[in-house]
Order: sequence, then C-alpha cells, then structure tokens
Amino acid sequence: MNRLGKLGIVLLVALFAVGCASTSDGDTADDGAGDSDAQQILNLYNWSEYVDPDLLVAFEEETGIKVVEDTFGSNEDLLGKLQGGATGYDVIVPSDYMVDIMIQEGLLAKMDHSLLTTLGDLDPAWTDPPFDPGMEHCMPYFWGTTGIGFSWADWDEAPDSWANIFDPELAAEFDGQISFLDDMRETIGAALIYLGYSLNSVNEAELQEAKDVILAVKPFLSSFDSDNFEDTLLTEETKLVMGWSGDVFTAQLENEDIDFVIPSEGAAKWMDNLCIPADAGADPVRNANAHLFLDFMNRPDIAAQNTNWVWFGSPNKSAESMINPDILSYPAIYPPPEVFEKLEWFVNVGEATELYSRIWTEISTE
Amino acid sequence: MATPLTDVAQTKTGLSYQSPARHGLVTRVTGILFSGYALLFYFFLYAPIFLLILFSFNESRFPTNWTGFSFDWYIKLFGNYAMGQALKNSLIVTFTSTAIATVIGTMVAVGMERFGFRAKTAVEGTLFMPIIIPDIAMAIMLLVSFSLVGMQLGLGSIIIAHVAFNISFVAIIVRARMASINPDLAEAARDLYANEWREFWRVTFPQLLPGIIAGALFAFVLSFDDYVITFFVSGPGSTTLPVRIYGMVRRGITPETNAVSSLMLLASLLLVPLTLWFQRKGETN
Repeated sequence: MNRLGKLGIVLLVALFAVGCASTSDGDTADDGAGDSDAQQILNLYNWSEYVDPDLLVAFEEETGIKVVEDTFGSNEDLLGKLQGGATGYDVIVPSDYMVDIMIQEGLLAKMDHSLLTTLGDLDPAWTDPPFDPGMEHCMPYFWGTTGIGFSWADWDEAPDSWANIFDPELAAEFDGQISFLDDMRETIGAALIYLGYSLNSVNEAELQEAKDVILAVKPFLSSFDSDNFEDTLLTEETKLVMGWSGDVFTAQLENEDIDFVIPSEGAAKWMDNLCIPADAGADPVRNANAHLFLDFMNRPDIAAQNTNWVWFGSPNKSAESMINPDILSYPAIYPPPEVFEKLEWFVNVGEATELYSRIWTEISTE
Repeated sequence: MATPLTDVAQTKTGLSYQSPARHGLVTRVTGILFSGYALLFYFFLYAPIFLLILFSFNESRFPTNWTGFSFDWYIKLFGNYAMGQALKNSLIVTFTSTAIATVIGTMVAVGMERFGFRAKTAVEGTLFMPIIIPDIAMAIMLLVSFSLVGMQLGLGSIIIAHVAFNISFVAIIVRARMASINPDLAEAARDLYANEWREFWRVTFPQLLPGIIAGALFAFVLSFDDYVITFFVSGPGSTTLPVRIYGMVRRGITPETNAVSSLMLLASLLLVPLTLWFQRKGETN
C-alpha cells in the first residue's frame, strides 16, 4: 500500500476517534443505571409542548433525577423508532390506538401498580380503557375529543351536530370553507357516528354508507387537513373544521371567537398515555425512575398544574379542585354527562383495517 | 430571377434571412422574456424565505396574520433551552460529519479516478446506493444495524449515519472535478522526482480544492437539513434542529422557528463572502 493510502487511513482513524470522543461530550443522555455518583437521568419522549417545563424541573428538585425531553410529531414516528430498535427512552407518550399496537408488538413494559401511590386519584371512567385493560401498561395522561371547530362570528348557537358538515344542504352554506381530518379512522368514524352507527364498525355496508356521505359533501371541502385546521380557522380560510379539541384551543388563544363543540350525536374520545418501553422496564433502575415519574405526574396538584398549562382534559379526578375553573366549565374540554356518555374509543379494527384503507382510498381519489 | 429581399426570405442557400430591424426586435423580446422568467424564478425562490424572515418579527403566533412588529420571538428563542440544545446538536453533527465525509469522499474520488482495481465497478455501484436509496429505507437500515451491534443511539450514531450518505455525494462531486483537471501536471510533477504524497498536496490538491469545497458545502447542507435519517438514528438528548421543528408541527409552530431560521440565514450570508475570499486567494496562487 502506498504512503498516500497509509496516511489516509491514519487520518481517518484519528478523525473518527476525535469524532467519537467529542460526541460523548455532546451526548447529554447517559442511562445512569448503576452509576450512583453521576446524576440520574430520565429520558422522556413526548409530543411537542405537552408538559409544563416547570414540572420537569420540580421533578428534578424532588427526586434528583434530571428529565431530558425529546419530541416526536406522530404516533407512527414513535412506533417506527421503537420497532427499528431504538432504546434509551424511559417514558413515552403514545395515543390510545398506538398503545394497543405497541402492546401487541411487545414494545411496552408492564406498569407495576405496587410502585404507584396515586392511582386512586384517577377518574374511574379512564381506568379501564379497551386498549389497555386495567391499566396494565400505561398511565392515563390527557384526553380529548374530536369535534367541530368554528367561529362565533358565523353562528348564534354552537353547531353541535355532525349534520353541519355531513348534510349536503347544510354544508353547501359553507362551500369551500370546510375541512375534514386527513385521517381514515377519524373521518370515516365521524360519518359513521352521524349515521348512527358505531365509531368502530366493521360492517362493509355501513362503511359504504359512510363513504357515500363523505363523497356527497366532498365538493364543499377545501381540504383534508390534520395539521393546520386551526390555522385555517384563524385566517377564515375555513369556517367549519373537523378537528381535535386541543388544537382548536390553541387557535382560541389568538382569537376568542374560535370555539370547539362536541357534536350531540357523539364523537371519538382519545387518550394519550404515559408508558414505559420494554427496554426501560427491563432495567431495574430505569424502571424505578420511570414509575416515580408516572406517579409524580399523576399527583393531583401536579396534574392540575399540568392541565392548566396544556389545556387538555385531565383524567385525574382529584386534580379537579385545583384546575383552572375556566377549563372545568368549558364544555368542549369537560363535556356534560349526557354528551360524555356518547363518546367512543377508537378500537383497533384488526383485519378490517384493509377494508377501511380501501374505502379511504376511494374517498381520497374520487 | 432576382427576388427582392423582404424581412424574412429564403436565400439561395436555403437559410432564412432576417432584416436587422426584425432581428433586433426578436432579440429584445427574447431578452425581456428571459429576464421576466429569471425574475419569476428568483421570486419563487426567495419570496418564501423573505416571508419567513418577515414573520419572525410578527407579534402574532400564527404566520397567517400580521398583527404588529416585535422582537419577542427572538427573546423567547434565547430563553428556549430545548431549541438551543437542538441547534447545538445540529451544528456538532453537521460540522463533524462534513469534515469526515469530505476527507473520505475526496480519498475515494482520487482513488477511483487514478487507480484501477478489481473491485472498482462494485465500489462504484455501492457508492451510488446512498443517493438512490430512499431516505426512509436507509434510515431503517441504519437503525436496525445500530441496534444489532448494540450501539447506543446518540450524536455518534447520527454522525456515522450522516457520513454514510455524505461520502457518496462528496465523492461524486470531487470526482467530477478530478476528471476535469489536466493529468499532465501531475505527470510532470512525478517526472520531477516528486513522490506521490508531495505531488498530491502540491499539484493535484490545489486544483481539486474548488471541487472539495463544493462537495463539503453540499455535504454540510445535506447534513444540516436531514430529517428522516436523523430522526430514526437519534437517541435521547440528541435531537437536532430539523427533528425538533418537525416535532412541533402537531402543537403548532411558533415564530421561534422563524427566528432561528433567520439567524441561520444570517450566519450563512456571512459565510459566503468568507468562502469566496478564500477561493479567490487560492486562485491567485
């Protein structure tokens, strides 16, 4: 081998060594297990702006464990990473249907109820969800609904019926100013509820009916939009949007006229959960720290402070006395019992997913 | 029979002839059309960037309404620890991976251009793979590989991943430059008793430098911008800027992202005259 080659190799190795050395300085995450002198770290993998940063500091002050938070943008991203073999996260925050999938894939560790002291503070309505019976794996975190976003500038009474966006006569009033969610389960589900069927129907005839309903109003839609519907409400690009509660509330901060209503026929409820990935659960130190965090976040005072920051519904009953009364009295976040009864969970439809997919493709392409 | 020459006519050789006046008009119209096209082109290119900077000074959180001028977002940005961390991670990853990839890529280019060896076609093929393979496929492959060898995900894994795809780009760019320089100069140097090492640094490298810089800049941009691969191979605490911004999509992007982008733009605007100055120095030598 000539000198050039030899020197090149030396250079390469040197650079690589330097690179590796410098990256271990830049890497703030150490799993801390067994390292009793160094600061312990808890790696939280969360949605963006979904926890009050002051609480993470409070957790560190109380337990000495530093919380390092990373963010992801969708449940599928989270799943992709974990399935690909990513380890190192101690607490993750998947949504209901994703918890279901992750349990089946064996990606979640079981939650040890004996390590938790605050379970009793939870509202019983949330303690036995279909995707995680008996809360074997996850701690409920925040919940919300899908519904209709609108502006009071256009309405005297809240448009509390799915008919406003699914009935062609009513929808025609807002031609070109309506958007649906770009989500197969959500949009087809909403149509199913409007028709009086279950959100999780796997009956092909019912699904076809739902498809027809959606296609009948499709000409009046401006778009299928899951990311910006609250923005379009603000700019008045849309007047009626199918959307998620929390996002519409973000728009409300900018414009008080914007509001959210849960249709009286019923709607989907969703729940985000604090879960422990399998690799964290296997390590005793990480497991213990994760349980500490879950327990901490579910303490009534902590949950209340978090709710007052995040503006979503908290599943914690004991926290209610400390939650901002504006949030509690707001039917869009805390609906009255008669509406609450009509809320349905999304359940994994298993093999019918293909059927849904096909129908959704037909809807999208026609 | 003599035919009078009109504006456009067939001459005996069959070529069409245009009077000077007509020719001037055509040139002018074409000129205007091309300028107009170029203007539109630059407008589409820069208008979004201009708007991005403009809305970093917007009082309102939403980039769809202008409610007033304010520096608030820049102030918030400086207090935003997570964003600062992400930017720092991005810069560490980008500079390190660019440096490594440029060195290796240049060596690959020189080696491929100068030498023939049995595995050459195979190497050429593998070199093109990172360019052709979709990002997501490469991302998953890398993630699975890292977990198979039990490597902990972090900035190190991101750097390795970035180097992996950047080598190809640098190699191709440098190789193109290599093919365009005159090999006789190198030959002459060897004739004058320069050994390979000296010959490379004294003769070939200076000629290659524009290509190497181009390759490095390209790798820099690719690395800094990268989302898909970085997302999958990043570990706790090693979020980079694009990953962080993308994660904000669900809960709403604030003008802090506009602010950080404007600052990055400012930094690169300051870098450009610097690199031009270096290049010019190189050329006069």
